[in-house]
Amino acid sequence: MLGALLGYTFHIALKLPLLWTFLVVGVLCGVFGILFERFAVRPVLKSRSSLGWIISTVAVGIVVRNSANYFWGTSPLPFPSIFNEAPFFVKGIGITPQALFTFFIAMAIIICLDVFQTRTIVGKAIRAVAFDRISAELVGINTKKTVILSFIISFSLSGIAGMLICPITFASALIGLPLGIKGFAAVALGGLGSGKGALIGGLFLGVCETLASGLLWHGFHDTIALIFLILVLLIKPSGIFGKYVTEKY
Amino acid sequence: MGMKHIKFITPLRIIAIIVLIIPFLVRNPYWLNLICLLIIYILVTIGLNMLLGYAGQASLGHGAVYGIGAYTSVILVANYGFPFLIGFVGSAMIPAIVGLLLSLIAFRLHGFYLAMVTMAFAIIIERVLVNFDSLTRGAVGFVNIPGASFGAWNLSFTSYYFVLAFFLISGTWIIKNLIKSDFGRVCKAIHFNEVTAGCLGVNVYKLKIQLFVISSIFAGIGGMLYAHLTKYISPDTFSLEISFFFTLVVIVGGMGSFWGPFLGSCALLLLPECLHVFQEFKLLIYGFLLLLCIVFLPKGLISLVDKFFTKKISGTDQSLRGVSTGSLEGIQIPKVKGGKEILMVCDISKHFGGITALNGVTLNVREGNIHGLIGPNGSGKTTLLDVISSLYKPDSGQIFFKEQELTHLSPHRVASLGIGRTFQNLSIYPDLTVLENIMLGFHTVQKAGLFSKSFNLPQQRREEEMMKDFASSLAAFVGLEGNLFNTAETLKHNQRRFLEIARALCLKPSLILLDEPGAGLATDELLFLKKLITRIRDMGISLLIIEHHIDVIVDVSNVISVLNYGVKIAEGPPAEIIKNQDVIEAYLGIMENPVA
Repeated sequence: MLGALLGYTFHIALKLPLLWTFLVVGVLCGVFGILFERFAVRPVLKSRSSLGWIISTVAVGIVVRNSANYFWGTSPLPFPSIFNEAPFFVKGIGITPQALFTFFIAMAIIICLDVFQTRTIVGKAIRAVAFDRISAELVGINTKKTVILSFIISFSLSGIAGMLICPITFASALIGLPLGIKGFAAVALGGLGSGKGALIGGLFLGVCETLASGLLWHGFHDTIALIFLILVLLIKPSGIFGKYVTEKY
Repeated sequence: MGMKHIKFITPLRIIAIIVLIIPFLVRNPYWLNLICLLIIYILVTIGLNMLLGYAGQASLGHGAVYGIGAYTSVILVANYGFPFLIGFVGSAMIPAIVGLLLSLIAFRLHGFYLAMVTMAFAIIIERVLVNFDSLTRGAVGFVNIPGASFGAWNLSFTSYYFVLAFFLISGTWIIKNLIKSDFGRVCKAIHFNEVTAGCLGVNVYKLKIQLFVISSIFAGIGGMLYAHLTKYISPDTFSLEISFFFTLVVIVGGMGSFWGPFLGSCALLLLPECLHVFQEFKLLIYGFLLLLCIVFLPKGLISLVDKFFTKKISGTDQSLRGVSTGSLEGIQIPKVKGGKEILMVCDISKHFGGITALNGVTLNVREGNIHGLIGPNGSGKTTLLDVISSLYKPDSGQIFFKEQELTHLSPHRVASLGIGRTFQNLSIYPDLTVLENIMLGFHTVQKAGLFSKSFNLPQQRREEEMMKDFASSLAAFVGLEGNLFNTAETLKHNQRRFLEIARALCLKPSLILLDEPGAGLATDELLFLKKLITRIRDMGISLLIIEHHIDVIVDVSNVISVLNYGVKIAEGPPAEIIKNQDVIEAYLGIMENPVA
C-alpha cells in the first residue's frame, strides 16, 4: 500500500521517471522496514510471550493506514500503466501487457531471491538466523544486522509489489489489508521460508480465486481460496514446500 | 492476581459489587450502554484469555464465533419466533459445535499456521453471513431485533443490564475455578512446552480442543448478548476486525492473567471514546498507543498494576497456603518379589535420516530393579528413553510395558499407564510454583472431570485438597518443603532436578525413567540423589536411569546396560560391567586405533 502510494506521489505528482520511482520506492520502503524492525519488532521480541508481534504489526498497520489516509485521502488514485491498456489475445485469452510485465518482474525477483538465499553467504546467514538465532550468533553471524537486512528486503519488495499492482487496482490507503492477508495465506500455503513455495502458493491461491468466482458462486470469491488453504494445511501441516521441523524440547 | 491478601475480598466479589453498583451510579444512558458493551467484551475475552493467554494458542477467529452466537440467537428468535431462552441455549450450543469442528482441524497446526487457519475461518464465516441471505438476510443484517424476554415479561434496559451482570459474574466464577484447578495448571504447562506436558500424561490435543470449545461458548454467549443489546447486527459487525480486537484486548490487558481481560477491555473500549476530541487523528493515536503499550509493557497493562501490589503479595498463589505435610503412605506400592520383566524393549531400531541412533536394541527392566543405562555421548541413550515414552516412533521393534504394547500409543497414554520420566534438559514450568509443578503430575490420576472443575464441585475440591497434601509430602521427600510456594524459576539447578523427580512420582508410576538426574550436581547432592533413588526403589517402583556419574550408577544399580553407537555392547551386574573390555574401549577408545 505504502509502495503504491509513494509510487503515485513520485511518479505522478513529482513526475519522476518510472525506473527511478522503483528505486526510490524500494529504498524508502526499506528504510521503513528498518524503522519497523527497530521500534516495533525488536522491543517486542525481548519478552517471552510469542504473540507480541501480532499487536505491534496491527498497531503499525493502523498507524500507517491512517497516516496514509490523512496524506493521500481514501479515494483510489489512478495509476497509469506504461503500456497500452488494450489486452492482446493469445488463443482467445485476453492478457494486458501490464499483467504480463508484472508477472515477469515478479518472476525475476523470485529467481534473484532464491539465488540470493541459497548461493550467497548473506542469504545463508538469513536462513541460519531463522532456524536458530542463538547458534547463528555463536558461529559469528551478526544476527541483528541479518534480521534488519531481511526486513529491508521484505519491505522493499512489498513496496515494489505495491507499485506493480497499482495500475491494476489503483493506489489507495485501503488496498493494504486484503493484500496482506492474501500474502500471509500464500506464504502459509507454500510453506514458511520457501521462496518457491510462496510463488506457487500465491499462484495457486490466485487461480483458485479466479476459477471459483468464474465457475462457482461469485459471492464466495475470496473464500474458496481460503478453504483450499485450510484443506492443504490439513493434509500437509507445514505447507506445500515447508519442511516439518520437530521441535527439540 | 490483585488483592487476595485480605481474605474476604476475593476478585469475584469485587467484580460482583462493582457490576451491581454501576447502574445506581451511572445514569447517563450513553455511558450505561457503553458499560453493557464492556461487560460483553470482558465475557468474550476472559474465555479467549484461557486459550490465548494461559495456553498460548493464537486464535484470530473468535470474532466469527462471536458472530455465530449472535446470529444463532437472532435467527432462532426473530426468524422462527422461539423464546429468548432457546436463543440463549442455541447461542451456546452452535458456537460450541462450530468451535469443536474448527479446533479438530486447526489444532493439527501450530503457531503461525494456527493463527492463519483461524483467520481464514473468520473471513469465510463473514462471507457465509453475507451470502446465505435466505437465513441471514445478507449484507443488510437484522434490524429491530427483539429484546430479551422471559415469557410475557419483556426486560427493560435496566433488567437486561442485570442479565448481563449475571452472565459476567457466573462466567468469571467458572473461569476462576478452571484457572485454580488442574485444568489451569495444565494450560500453563502446554504453553511452556507441549512435548514434556505430554510425558506428564496430558492429552495436549484434547486439552486444546476443550479450551477452544470453552472459549467458543463464551464468545457465542457474548455475541447473543450483544445482538439483543444493540438490536442490530450485520456481517460488518463481525468482520475480521472484531477478531483482531478480541486478540488485542487479551494481549494488551496481559496474557494469562486473571485481571488482564478486564483491564484490556476497559482500555481498548474506553480509550477511543476519550480520543473523540482528536477527531480524524483518533485512530492514529490509538495505533500509537497500542504500539507503545506492547513495546513498554510486553506483559500487558496488568504489569503496571502488579508492580503496585508486589509488595503485599509475594507472587504466589496463596490459596495453596496452609497445607499439611502428610506422609508418603499413599504412594507405597506393595513390593513385588520375583522380579518379572516390567519393561521389555525388543529389537528397537531408530534412524534419523542417515544416522542410526538405535540399532536392534533389546533390553529388559525387571520389577523392583534399578537399571542403569550408560554409554558415551551420542550413543542413543536419550533416544531410547524417548522411544519408550513414545516421543519417537521406532522404525522397527516393539516395546512392552506389563504386557502392553507401547509403540503405537501417544506419549500421554504411555504416561498414564504408569511410566514417569524426567528430562536431561529439565522441563519444569518456571511461572508455576513448586507445589503447582508437582501437582501437574497428578493430571492422569485425577478423576474430577471438566464439569466438576468448572463449577468447583465437592469431588473437585476434595481431590484438590488431597493432591495438595500429597504433593507437599512429595516435595518434602525430595527436600523442597521450604520452597513450596516459590515459583520454580527461583530454584537452584539441583533443586530443579529433584523437583522433576517429585513430579514424576506424582503419576503413581510403576516405572520411572530418569535422564541424567545427576548432571550438574555437587558431590553431596549426588549422595542425596543416590539415597533418593534407593528409597524410590524401596517403594516398589522400578527405575531406568541414564547417568554419566559412573560411581553413582555402579553403587545403586542392580543391572547396567551399555550402549555404543546405538548398539548394546554389554549388560550385567555393575561389578562385571566396569571390568568389561568392550565397555572400557567404548569409553576410552582402543589404544591402537583411537578413532575407531
